[in-house]
Amino acid sequence: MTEIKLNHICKVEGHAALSLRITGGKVVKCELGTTEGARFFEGLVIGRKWDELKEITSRICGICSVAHSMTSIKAVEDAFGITPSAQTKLLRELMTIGERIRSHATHLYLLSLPDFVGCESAIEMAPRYKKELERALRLIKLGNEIVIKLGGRQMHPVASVVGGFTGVPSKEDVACLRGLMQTARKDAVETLKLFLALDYPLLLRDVEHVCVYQKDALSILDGVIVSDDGLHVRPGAYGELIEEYVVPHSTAKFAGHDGHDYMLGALARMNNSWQFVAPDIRRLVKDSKHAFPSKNPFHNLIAQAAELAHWVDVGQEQLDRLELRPEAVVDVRPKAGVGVAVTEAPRGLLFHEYHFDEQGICTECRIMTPTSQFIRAQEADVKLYVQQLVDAGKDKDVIVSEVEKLIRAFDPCFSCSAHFLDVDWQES
Amino acid sequence: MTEEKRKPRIAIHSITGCAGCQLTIYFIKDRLLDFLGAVDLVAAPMIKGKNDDDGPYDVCFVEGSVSNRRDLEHLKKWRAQSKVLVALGTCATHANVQGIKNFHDARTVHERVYGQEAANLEGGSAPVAPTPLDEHVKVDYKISGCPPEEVEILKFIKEFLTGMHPRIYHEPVCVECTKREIRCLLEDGKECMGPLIRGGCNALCPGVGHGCTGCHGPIEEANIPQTIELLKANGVPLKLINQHLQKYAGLAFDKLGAAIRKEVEGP
Repeated sequence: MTEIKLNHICKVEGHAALSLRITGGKVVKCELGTTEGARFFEGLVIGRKWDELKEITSRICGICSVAHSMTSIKAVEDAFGITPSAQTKLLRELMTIGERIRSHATHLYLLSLPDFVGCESAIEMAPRYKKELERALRLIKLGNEIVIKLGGRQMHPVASVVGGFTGVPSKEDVACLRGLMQTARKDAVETLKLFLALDYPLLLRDVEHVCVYQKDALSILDGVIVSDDGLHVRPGAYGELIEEYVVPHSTAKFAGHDGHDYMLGALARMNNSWQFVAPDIRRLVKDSKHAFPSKNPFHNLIAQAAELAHWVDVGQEQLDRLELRPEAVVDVRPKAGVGVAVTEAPRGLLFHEYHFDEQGICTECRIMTPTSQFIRAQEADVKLYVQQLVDAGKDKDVIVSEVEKLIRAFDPCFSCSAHFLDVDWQES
Repeated sequence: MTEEKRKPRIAIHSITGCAGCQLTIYFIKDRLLDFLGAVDLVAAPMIKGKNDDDGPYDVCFVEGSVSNRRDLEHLKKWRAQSKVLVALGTCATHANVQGIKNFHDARTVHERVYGQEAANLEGGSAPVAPTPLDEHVKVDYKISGCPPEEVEILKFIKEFLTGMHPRIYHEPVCVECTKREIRCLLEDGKECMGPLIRGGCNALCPGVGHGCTGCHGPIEEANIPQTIELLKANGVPLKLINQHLQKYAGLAFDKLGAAIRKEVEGP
């Protein structure tokens, strides 16, 4: 294994493979990696002008294009010393909330829930779980409409640019969103109740949970980086903290911090910022058989459901007091330098860093996506879980389906591929 | 005896891309359950656990561009087992942003991301020049867009299900801008690729005050030299215009004879 501290692949959702070897009842090999074709984003943006970066890098991911777009914009603004207006900040946060609602609802209901009700897909679930699926589609629609009304389109938003928004939603748009919000609160609470009622396998491993943190609210776009192991750094210092390296079995790079793996995402956010979640949502969890903090990766599903309810609350409040006025985009004056932004994407901490020359042309780029950072922790959890299942005398079919369930619970950007996980099973 | 009409066997597959095109299908808001009821979705690995990987398929949607050897193997297999193959989205129709790599030195780009020892880029993961599907296999329909529009996908499915030959919208973005009475951004002295680009998006981006960036790829009949003159007159440097042409559909613009590449990059 060669350690290289350079840029890495950004695209990881799509296709993954797992290779396991069990000898004499022991898991001796467990390699989880992406087989997705590399797209080389960090190389593609070199020589490109500052205003194209958010447009190109948002294409890294269809599921979290808003997160990439926002992080890219913030990194460019950091480099040029631009402070966006209060209205711009509010619209960015609201749009990110929209994507969060859509992403969590999609993952919880369409990708993970089938695992817990014995169905191969949400389609197979449809006859028996029509109510639940309709609820999911309502939440997805709400998230979609927020992104469309604010960003101009469902994916890869255009209205949000460096320095502001090219246009703001009309009064009718805002009224439409308020209307969709009416049922969202109930839908989100029902979602949380549903995921609190499920039974999760017991899987505990002591791993550091890292996320962006604010001292008075659940963070989504701003803050410092903290962990439950005492980490506390500003965004600009994060890049130096993380070592990235190439492993032969994955087109996505692996990452470590102080030589060990770390966990990101909704579970890390709930573990580090639980006190900022709305009191009635905390109460629902408190009255259940589950609790935060938790080191069980399956509880990422409860964390997503709790977070979904929290952001629906915040989104509703923001929409209620939204009074928009047309605002010109800040006049951008490029300068040579480095810009960094760290935000919370749906799947965890997202890092963009750009270097610019005096014309604002990108000369260097480094992007670390959540999945490429937590895949190492995921691989370690899979290994531990397989060992537990082998020790319990489970047969191959059970192990394979349980491992798929675990991989999906992380909500990796390759959850799609985990559905046809190519398990190379070797037993001797 | 009447035989009940068999539902068409549909597959939704992906190679290298961002999954956004598939998501556009799964995000079809109020009509998703109708769509799923009208077809037999036999393979859709993003949302299904059990998939028929061997076909045959009546229609196979493929998103993503051919970017490594594994992609190419999969694409050839799907083509062989499908009656109709649809390239869904701009990665599949024009190679999209990863196609920018075609205009750089590939080795430099690889090393920038992975360093010199890229042992992970071997075998099936060995890179192939990012290319649209029709560079490798016969493609029956192309629905471009990053992501493709829900209305275009729905129209295609509806026409297919009713036995029609689906017709893909084929007019530049300007037509929809005019219909929507959107003030022309080029006339306003701004950057807009609209005259060169296939619409079907209902002029989404100009509609929110942002010039068209070209994510649907070119319309073949477009007057490229004239649009370049308009952009130049608005103060957009030729080098930047060239980069815009190379962003989503560089290979196609090269074929259409966008001679500015030579002018900018030298022979």
